[in-house]
Amino acid sequence: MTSRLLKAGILSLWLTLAAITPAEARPISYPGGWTSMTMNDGERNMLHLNYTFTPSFSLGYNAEYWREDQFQLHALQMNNLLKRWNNPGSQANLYLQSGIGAAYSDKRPFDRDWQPAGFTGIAADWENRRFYTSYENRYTWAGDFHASFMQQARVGVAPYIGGYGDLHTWFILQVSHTPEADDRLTVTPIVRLFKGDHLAEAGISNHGDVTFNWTIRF
Amino acid sequence: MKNAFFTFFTALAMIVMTGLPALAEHTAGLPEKIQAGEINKTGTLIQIGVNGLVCDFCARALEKVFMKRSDIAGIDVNLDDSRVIISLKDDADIDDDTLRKLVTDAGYNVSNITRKPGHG
Repeated sequence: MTSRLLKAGILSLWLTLAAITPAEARPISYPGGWTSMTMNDGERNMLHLNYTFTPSFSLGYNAEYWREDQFQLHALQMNNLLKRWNNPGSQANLYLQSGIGAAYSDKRPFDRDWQPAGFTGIAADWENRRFYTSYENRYTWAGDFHASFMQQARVGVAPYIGGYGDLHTWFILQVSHTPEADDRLTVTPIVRLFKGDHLAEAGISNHGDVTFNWTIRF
Repeated sequence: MKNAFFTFFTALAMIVMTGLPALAEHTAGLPEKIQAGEINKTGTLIQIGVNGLVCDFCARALEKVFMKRSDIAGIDVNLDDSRVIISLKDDADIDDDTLRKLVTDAGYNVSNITRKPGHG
């Protein structure tokens, strides 16, 4: 277990250094702005609603349901923009995302138990108008119900360059690594479409699981 | 499962071939009309060069931050030229420091600012 976590940590560090990149659906918008995100894949369903207080900090509610271990996680989530690189033709970001709250399970041997829970991880991304790459990791702890490390990398390309207000399309290849899972590596081709304040992503993994993410800013 | 995988890729290819690129047309230079609000021909036009302006979804923040202000008539965001044009209402003015702060609040950096006074 320790060895696996160590390997995962080394791989995570390597990916971070190699790519300096995280995952889209940026968790911070502009002061006074709200962001709603739902993310669904083979492992969990997640809903996150946050309010941006400053250009580098947002706070919100996070709800998750993990299907295999059958538990809910409810947390207050803090998103910190640690660093942003704005260049003439590109942008890169580094975030810290952490949550603290409680988890609930009625799966045996647990009997409608609530236990303290939390998670933390970094996310980084780089993009220009044609290419996009990201990396994120997260350690999730939910009392006796669950503990896992996950990391995920993405590369994407836009088949055409859209202007402001157009429908934008991206083709993305996502690779997820979860050391504790039976299927440690999951590869998911994803189509991302966004227009205006709506961003949607859909894909099917090599394990046959559907991914659907939707983000709205208002 | 392989079938689902191939069906997915086939659907992707169809999306590209059915003409989505046609949606990517965008006007360059000074706009005839703008994306939010309107051009006030008698007010000052301010052009702001913006670094990091690559993502439409994120650039919405510029529109929302600027359009909150009562002294702005309209805004045009141009990803091709990495610039924003602000149309001010009559007799309104916004100093450079305030413009830089607004752009920073939206998540970007200013590279340059130029002004074209109105004819009001």
